[in-house]
Amino acid sequence: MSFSLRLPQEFASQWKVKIRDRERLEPPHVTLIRAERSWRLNLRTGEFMDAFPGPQDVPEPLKRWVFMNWQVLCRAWDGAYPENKVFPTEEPHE
Amino acid sequence: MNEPLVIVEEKRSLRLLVPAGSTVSAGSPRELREALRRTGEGAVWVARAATLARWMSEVESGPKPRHRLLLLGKARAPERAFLRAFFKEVVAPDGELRMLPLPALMRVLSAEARGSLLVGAAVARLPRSVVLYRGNLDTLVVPFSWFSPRPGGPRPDFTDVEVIDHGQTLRLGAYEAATDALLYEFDPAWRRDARRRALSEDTSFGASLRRLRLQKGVRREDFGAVSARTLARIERGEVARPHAHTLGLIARRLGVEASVLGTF
Repeated sequence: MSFSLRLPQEFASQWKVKIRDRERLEPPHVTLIRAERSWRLNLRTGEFMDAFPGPQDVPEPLKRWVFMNWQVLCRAWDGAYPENKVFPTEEPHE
Repeated sequence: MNEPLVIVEEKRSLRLLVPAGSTVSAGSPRELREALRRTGEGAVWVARAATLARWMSEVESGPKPRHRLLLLGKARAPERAFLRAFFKEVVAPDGELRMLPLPALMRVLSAEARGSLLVGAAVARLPRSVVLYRGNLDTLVVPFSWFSPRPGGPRPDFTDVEVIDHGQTLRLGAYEAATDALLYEFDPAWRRDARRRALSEDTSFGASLRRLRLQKGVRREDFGAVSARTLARIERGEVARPHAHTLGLIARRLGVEASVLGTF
């Protein structure tokens, strides 16, 4: 089953925050969905990935809720896509 | 720019489901004639088969050949055959094709990005595939094998197929696939557009570095002590904290200060 972040009541009827069983893999992200629009949030950088629709259209309290649950989201992604974890452990040593 | 959406209906209830001004609406044969005049080479139409066939007969005219039609409700065979003669594509719900609920359907059809959203899905047994209908009424055929389960995740159930999240997710039982993942893989034109958008919009450090490198005309293989693989991982954002020494080498090769690498 796809991962769906539990949301406060004020957002639960109109918004979904999901990591589905089949996503575009690069980069790891979570998708905020409202009706026919969606916002992809990069789990590595915490930045919105697309200019349209604008990140300013996401209510600040919802953004705060998502960031409060960041570790939960990263664990959900890593569990679903272990071959493309949010932060691979390997680092360069040139 | 989207082709226009044309709604043909007697009761004018569908137009209440879409944003004002986003459609051409025909509530009578006279308005249908006007809609035919106003729409150009291509348009997406939504109508009930009986109404549209009757009114087209009355005005003795039909759309240009590139127009596509989505029928609401069941259509009788003669009406469907009549309409097929005029439209490039006629999509009609039947026992196999499952459409979005009407309010969501109308929102998707009137959306600017309707080609990036799904409106319906059906399962074809031979070959074993899922046929997806997009908001612009293009189809996409995806083999069952593409829907691979994740570790510990559900298996796709092809007997329970539904488009949800206003066309942004395909549900197969408990299994869910993102529409953009489907389009990215099976529509090369959509993929090209998505890549172009992503590269121009991505404000991450890695994307900035990539833009700078390309602007300077430097290949990933040209960074000496920094391997092409490492550079690719930094550009993709896979390295959380690149070493200062590594960044210094990259900056020197690109002829800039390390502190400005993320500003391009």
